[in-house]
Amino acid sequence: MNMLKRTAIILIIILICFISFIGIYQKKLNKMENIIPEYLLGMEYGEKRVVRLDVDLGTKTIYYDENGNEIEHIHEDGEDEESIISEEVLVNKEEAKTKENFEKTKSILKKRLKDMGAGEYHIRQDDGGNFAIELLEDDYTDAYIQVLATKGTFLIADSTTGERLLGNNNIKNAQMVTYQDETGYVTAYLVVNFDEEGTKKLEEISNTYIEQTDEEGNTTTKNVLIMLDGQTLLNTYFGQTMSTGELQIPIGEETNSGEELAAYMLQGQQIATVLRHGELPLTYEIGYNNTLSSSFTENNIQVAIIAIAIIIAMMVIYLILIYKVKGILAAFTWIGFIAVLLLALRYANCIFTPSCIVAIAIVSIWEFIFVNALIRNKEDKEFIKLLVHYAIIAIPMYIISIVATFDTAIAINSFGTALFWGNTLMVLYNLIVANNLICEK
Amino acid sequence: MQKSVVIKTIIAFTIAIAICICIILINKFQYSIDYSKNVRIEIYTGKKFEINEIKEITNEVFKNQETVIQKAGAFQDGIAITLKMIDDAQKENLIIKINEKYETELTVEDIEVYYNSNVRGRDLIANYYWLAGISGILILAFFVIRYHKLGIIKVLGTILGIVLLGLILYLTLISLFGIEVNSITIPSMIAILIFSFAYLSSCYEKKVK
Repeated sequence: MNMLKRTAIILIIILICFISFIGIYQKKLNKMENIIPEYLLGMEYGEKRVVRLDVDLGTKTIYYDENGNEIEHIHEDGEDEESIISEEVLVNKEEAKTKENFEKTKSILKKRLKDMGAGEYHIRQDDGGNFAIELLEDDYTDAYIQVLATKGTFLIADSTTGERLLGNNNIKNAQMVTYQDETGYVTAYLVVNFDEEGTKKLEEISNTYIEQTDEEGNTTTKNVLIMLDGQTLLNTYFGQTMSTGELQIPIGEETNSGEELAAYMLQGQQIATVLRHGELPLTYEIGYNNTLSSSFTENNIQVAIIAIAIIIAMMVIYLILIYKVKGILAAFTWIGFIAVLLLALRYANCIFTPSCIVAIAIVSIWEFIFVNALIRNKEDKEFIKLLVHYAIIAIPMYIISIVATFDTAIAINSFGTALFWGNTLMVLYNLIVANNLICEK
Repeated sequence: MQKSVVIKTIIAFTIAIAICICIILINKFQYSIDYSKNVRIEIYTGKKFEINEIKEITNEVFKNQETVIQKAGAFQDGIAITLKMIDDAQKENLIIKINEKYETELTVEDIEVYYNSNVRGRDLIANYYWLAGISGILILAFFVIRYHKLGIIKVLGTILGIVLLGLILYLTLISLFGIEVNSITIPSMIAILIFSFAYLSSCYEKKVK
């Protein structure tokens, strides 16, 4: 009976190894396709985007009103162009190109990337304040780049005179919300929260920029422009007093399409991210934006697989030489564990990074040590006692794995995920497999 | 007697750490090409190519220099070569070899050169601050709660000593033997700590029982 059970377990392990290392292939459209999920690859093993943000060395025109106040230049019919004074200046003043501003820019870029959920990136900064940023290529890479390249100058300005009414300095927070009407249509709004001073200014603005009706019944509106980096987000007037310090800006149109709504939400999220972390002290332009493949070739992968196979083979030989028949069973148990772990990580959507591979190595070694201890169980500890002992001494590893899984950085998160699943599976797997395969009953 | 042993241990420990720090400061760290200051050149041939083919060419042109070959562009038709430095003779030689291989008529002017600064070491470590801080506190709490019978100060002192010595020794070896700092350096450091904690915990378990 015991022999039969062991044979069945060994057969199951062999089957799992085949599924994990080779896959299950099904014919789809005249092609054999593996139905086991593909490994998700990190920046090191997959594609990455390299974008270069160069300090803008160009010039721009700035405008002043007759009192010498800097204003936004609004092209409106009937505008009194003569009263506007213009001046050609450098986009980035020389005195603004300081080390402190470069560092501040870097810090804001990092915050924006983290906020947008970019899990893997490297930032290189040169002495001139230019940045080269490497990002994992995924569906959101273009959105990240847009966020990075945006200076983030938020402005509420008079739509006629260009007078600047409210800016970045008074923004406390920004976020996206959605409202659904009775018909099921949804509108996405960017909600900008202002600080105390900003709230007062907004209240004043909302009482000034309104619709007015004269004695003859004609209505006129006094509008404001809500702008980001000179681009108008909204040209509007206020229907009520805004006393809460909260400004809602519709992004896109109302829709009942999930795809459209997702696009509006992403667009709004980009603006909200930029507003949350303040404007860049300098204006940047994208100097380079290109996708680079992994440098790993089929050849490299084959060499890596052979190297890993040799290490595993050496460990298996060690087990067999030292423990004879039990060593064979231990080898099956150990290789089966690696197969199950790799399979579980693919279903857990773990991204394969160098740190993830280190974590897999850690738990594989840990299982190897456990299997060794199980065979060498001279103190005649019961299986459960030994498993509990190993579970206790693995608590620091568990702590590290759980904390790491909460990290947004892919390198740390994947490390934690692999370590967490490795530890958890180790307990379950050994209870089912090692307990029945290695332990004498 | 016991007090003098403790003092001797602390002195030996301090000297060992001081020596390690000196070695690190003198030797510094060698960063891999991915993290160090480098030059990336891009050449668009308009033809399909394999990374291995380019690797053969770069081995001839750049001899012992480490190179990273990638495909560039949305259509992956550009050859991107990252290396520590390149001179004009190497550029010319490279273009000649690529023209020979792919029957193109490219010139040195067709090579796009991008100079990249290094990724700062402190930026690489910064990502791990939270992990180190939170898990460090929790692990210390675990050791203190589980093994308080062995003496809280002794347990804390041993664990902090092991962490400090383990990290410093690891970094010293990396620095001394010129092992390149790359994407597995920090995870490997965590691996060493994990096994140290497990070993320490295993020893304490025996003592407690």
